[in-house]
Formats: sequence, structure tokens, C-alpha cells
Amino acid sequence: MHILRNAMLCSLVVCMTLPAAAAVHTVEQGESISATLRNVAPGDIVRLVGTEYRENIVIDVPVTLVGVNLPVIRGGYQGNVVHVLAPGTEIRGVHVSEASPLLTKDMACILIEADDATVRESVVTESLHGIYVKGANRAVIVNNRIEGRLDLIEADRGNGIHLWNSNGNRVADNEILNVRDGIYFSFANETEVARNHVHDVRYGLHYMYSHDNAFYDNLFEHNVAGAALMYSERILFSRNTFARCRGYRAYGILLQSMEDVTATSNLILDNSRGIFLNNAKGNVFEANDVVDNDLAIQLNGGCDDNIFSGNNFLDNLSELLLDVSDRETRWADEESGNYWSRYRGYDLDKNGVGDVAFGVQNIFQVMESKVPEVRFYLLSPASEVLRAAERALPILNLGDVEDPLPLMRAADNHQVPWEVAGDFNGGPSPLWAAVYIIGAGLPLGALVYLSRPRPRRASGKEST
Amino acid sequence: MKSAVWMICWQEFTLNRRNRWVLSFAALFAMLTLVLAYFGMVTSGYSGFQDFTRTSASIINLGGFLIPLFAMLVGVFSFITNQGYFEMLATQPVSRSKVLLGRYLGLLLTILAASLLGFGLPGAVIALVIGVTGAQSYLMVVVYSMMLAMVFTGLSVLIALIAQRRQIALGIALGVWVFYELVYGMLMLGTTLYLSPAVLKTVLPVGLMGNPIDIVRVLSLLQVGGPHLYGPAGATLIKLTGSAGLATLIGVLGLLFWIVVPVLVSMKIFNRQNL
Repeated sequence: MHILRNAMLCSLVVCMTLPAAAAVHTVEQGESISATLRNVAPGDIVRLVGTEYRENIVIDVPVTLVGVNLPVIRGGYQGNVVHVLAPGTEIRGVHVSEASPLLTKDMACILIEADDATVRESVVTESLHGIYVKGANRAVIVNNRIEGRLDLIEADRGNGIHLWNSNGNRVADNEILNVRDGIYFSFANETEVARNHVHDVRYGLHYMYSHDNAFYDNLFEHNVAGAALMYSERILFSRNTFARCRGYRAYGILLQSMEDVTATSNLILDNSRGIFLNNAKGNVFEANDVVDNDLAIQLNGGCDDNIFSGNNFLDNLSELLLDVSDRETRWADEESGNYWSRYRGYDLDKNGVGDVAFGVQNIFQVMESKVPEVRFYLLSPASEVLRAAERALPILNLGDVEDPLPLMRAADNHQVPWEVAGDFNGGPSPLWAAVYIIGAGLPLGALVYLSRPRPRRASGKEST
Repeated sequence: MKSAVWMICWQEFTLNRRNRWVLSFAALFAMLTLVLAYFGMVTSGYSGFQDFTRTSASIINLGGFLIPLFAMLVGVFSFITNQGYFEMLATQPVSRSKVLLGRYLGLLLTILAASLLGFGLPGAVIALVIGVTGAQSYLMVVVYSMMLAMVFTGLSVLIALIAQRRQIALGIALGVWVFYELVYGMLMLGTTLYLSPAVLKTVLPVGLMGNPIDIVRVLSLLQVGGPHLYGPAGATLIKLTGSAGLATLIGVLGLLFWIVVPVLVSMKIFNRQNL
């Protein structure tokens, strides 16, 4: 706190030396923030030194609202809690809670309707929308924690950060959980999203009609979809982790009617479906690691001119599911294709690229594409025999999707954020290990003990 | 006061435990599953639950491969080799059903004891790598595989009774094993060439019930990977049965049917058989 106080004093000193000196207003416990806000001039600092304020506030003069020791502002589940109407307002170190649950009125804990607003080091709980930037540009939202309401069903929850008709924002280093969509973009362009951790939500990121956006270094885990990109153009994303999206409708990355998306160096780990493309055109997936998914890629109709190259597809249960035959997707650029851990080809000229094309779909997956119920024979001896037969007699090869230049060794995609993925397991359980060893060892021990050669008595009894 | 069934069961177990094959199988099976678990879970390099699914699937398949074979061979051998002993038992003042049940249970005891180690050691590896959740799911895999052992022990008894002669019985046993191991699955996959997807939506899931090995594999994978492992097919299964729990229940009932029926039929045959 001393540091913060010193910093405050410094900024105070700096401010004092300026012609229009910014005043500092202190709001004690039991006093009203709204009352204080009626007496402020632009550029003033409002310090909240109490622990709890029960009111809904409207900031219509550009001030800096600073909480000392994270005071909480409770809206009592009525209306928006903090409503920012003045451009350049900054909110720092405040816990905002209890917005109205009226989704039809798009209520939010922090509603921003003015340009150049900043929200940092703050916490939002009991939110509908956490932070809603409505028709305002260049908002900066960094280092916050936004929690949705677990008591509401998913459809009744709001979004963590909701951007509507809003350009040039920066959203970084936030943690968002238990909301509907982590960050929702609607008509929000040129927004940068970096280093956020979004988990246990529906869609980690959800773009609608939002162009020229970028997101980097985020971690999305345990969501319905890591990122859902819809009806937008020119989105660039890199070094993100999309992990453990599990369920019937779960996807690591979902592209619906997207154009010119570039995805590089992302880690797509352990999802029910890794990458899903529907009606998506001209998208580039390069140097990503797609690992341990039930299904690596699903391509639905209307996909055209997408390219996958330099990716590592490691240990996915199935590689590709198509709903219509697909010849438009390119699985290699001029020099090389992707690394597939299932590839069994050879490389006589030692150029690192296999000499036989890789059929992305094996015969089992081709059958599965036609009849989904074939999947009950997944990992069965019959399906293994079919695959072996297909390898031995390539005439059986039914899939027309192939990677012409499969890599012999996994590409060194060193930017892929493996260290972020971490260890999701519950930690070793020696107790259970002991249970298994004893439970399994005892019967065998008895068997060994009983079957040792015994003289006289036993043999006399059994010789009958 | 020991019941006749228990005495015969213990006697059968005593005879079988002397069989060197039983211990050899136990050692071989445990070694193979341990290798699978070790390479799947410890050295794979990824910390995913997927490793668990894949490793379990390998163990399930290995179990589905070796346990029916082992149960069939030991069952047929034991029933036909000790024919004289069998006849002697039938002369005792004990009903034939009890004699058969006792022998079946003794055989089962042998087979379960020999295969439990092979399932237990990977369980310990899983518990150490994944933790409690994995260990608990895997426990069900062990239970299902034990049920599979019961099914094929029952079938071996039935085959032994029908065939009477050792060579014929062995031939039938191996044939049945190959059929359920491989041919059945190929036939089911073959149906996709002739039937429409709409019909297959029901034929394939219902067809699973016709093969105990398939039931065990699907139940086990449902347990470790969840129904969504099966993608749209999983959704079909839920739609067909109502819920994942009900699907599991139906599968287990199917397995119980496969356990009980061969034993009942064997009893009937044995009761009428002229020794």
C-alpha cells in the first residue's frame, strides 16, 4: 500500500505543478460516491478508502476512481452499478458487484459509454455483463478479474467483457470465468486481446461481425468453445492455448462464415473437436500444434481455399471429419505440408518430406463420415484390421483428402505455448495405487501360495 | 457347513491352480498391460486425459483379446480333461445343476485371480499419474473386463458340454473366439455397405449387444472418455436410451444376459446328458 500511496503522492505532486491542479476527493466508509461525484472537476481523483458502498454511480465527469484495498461497490441487483459517461475516465482497484440480472436490458457491472475509458486492477462479481463497452472506442481493460453468476443458467448469464460498436480497444491480462462468453465482440474492430485467461464459460472469445482483430497469448480452457469466430474477416491469432473443451458441442476453435483468418503457433489440446470450419474461406492455419483431440479437424460445407501447413497433428483419435467431399482445402504450401503422428511413409531423398502422400482420412474415418454410428467401433480390433488392410492394399483408399508433402518429423513450432498448458491432472493418488496393487496382488498371491507343491495331505486328497 | 456348490468350486479351483498355464498367463498378461500403461502414461510426454483414454483403450483391447482366449482354453481343457472326475461327481448325491455351477465358479475363480493382476498394475500407474478421477473410472474398466471373463468362462463350459471331445471343443472355442474378436466387428462394419444411414443409426448401436467384447469396449470407453468421445454417435446412443447412465445400465444388463444364459443352457444340457 505504501507504494500505491507514494505513487499517489507523486502523481499528486505532478498534478499540483500543472496549471489546473487535480483535486483529490476522499470518500470515507458510509459516505456516498455519487454525492462526491457531483462536486468534482475534470481530471480529479476520487479515492475510495472505505470497504463497502451500496449505490449505483454514474461518472459523467472524467475522473480517476481509485479504490484503496479493493473496496466493493454493490448495486443491490438494480440497474448498472458503475455507468461511465465521461471520456477518459479511469477506474482502478475497485470491486464492482451486483448488477441487475435483466439480460434484455443488457445490464452490466461496469457500463462504458464514453471513449478512452480505462478499467484496471479491478474485480467484477455477481455480474450480468461484467464490463460492457457500448458504442465507445479505445477502452483499455487490463488486469481485471471478472466472475459471472453460477446460480444462473448459461442462457441467462451475460458476457465477461461485451464490446458493441466499439473500435480500437485493448483487453489484456484479465481472468474471466463462469460467464456466457468470455469476451464478446459485436461490430467491434481493431481490438487487441492479449494474455487473458478465460475458463469455464461458453465461448472464450466470440466474434460477430468484427473485423481486423487480433488475439495473442491467451489461455482458454474448459469452455464449450475456446474461440468462436463468426461472420468476421481478417482476424489474426497467435500463441494461444485452446484446451479441454469437452462435450457434444465442444470445439477448440470454431470458424463460422469467416474469411482471411490467420492462425499461427497456437496449441489446440485435448478438445472433443480441435478445429471446426463451416462455410469458411481463405483461412490459414500455420505452425500450430493440434494434440490429443478426439477429432482434430471437422470441415463442413462451403469451405473453400483454406490452407493447413507446418502444423503438428499429434495423437488425435481421428484426424478429419467431412460432411461433404472436400477438394478445396490445401494441406501443404509449396514446400511442405504438416506432421501427422499417424503417418507411416518413408523419405528416400532425405529432404524431410515423406515420399508418399498422407491420406488424411483413413478408411475408418471415411466410413465414419458417412455413418457416424460406425464410431462405436473406434479403437476396436475390426477397425485396426481395416486400417492395416488399407495400408497393405492401397486400392482400398477411399479418402480423396491427402497431404502431398507430409513432414517426417514434427515441425519445431517453438512459439507454441506448451508451458502454459500445464498439468491438469488431479495429482498422484498413492492410496488408490496401493488399493490396486493389493486388490490385484492378493488373488494371485493366493493362487501362487496354494499351488506350491505340498506333500502328503493335499495330494492324497486330490488323487481320487 | 459348506454347501456342495462351494466344495465343488474349491475343488475345481484346487485342480486348476496346479495348471502351470494359469500362472504363466497371469505373468504374461500383467507384463503386457504394465508395459502398455507405462508407455502410455509415463513416457508419452503429454499430460492429457487423452493419454488415459488411449491407454485404457489399449488395455481394454488387450484384455478383450487375451481374457476370452484364456477363459476358453482353460475352461475347455479343464472340463474335458477331467471327464472322469466329472462323472464321479455326477454320481454323488448332489444335483447336476449344483455340480455344474460349482465347477463353473471354480473355473471362474481361477480365471479372475489370474487376470486381476494384469488389470491392477496399470490401475496403480494410472492412480499415480492421473489421480483419483482416473483411478475411479478405471475401476469400472476392471469390473467390465471381469464380467467379460465371466461371459467367456460360461461359453467355454457350454462348448465343452456340447462338443464332448477335446479337439472338437478346442476348435469350436477358437472359432467362437475369432468370431467375436474380429469377424463380428467386420460384419457390423460391413453392414454400412448395404444399409442406409437411417437404418444403421439403430442397427449399429443395437448390434453392439450381440457381442460381449463390443459391449465391454464401449462401456469402458464411455466410462473413461465420456459419451462425447463417440461424437454424433454418442448423441445417437443417448437419444436411443435416454441418458448415459441408462445406456450403461442397458450395456451391463446385456453383459449379465451373456453371463447367465450360457450357464443356464449348460445346466439344462448337463441335466439331460447321458454320461
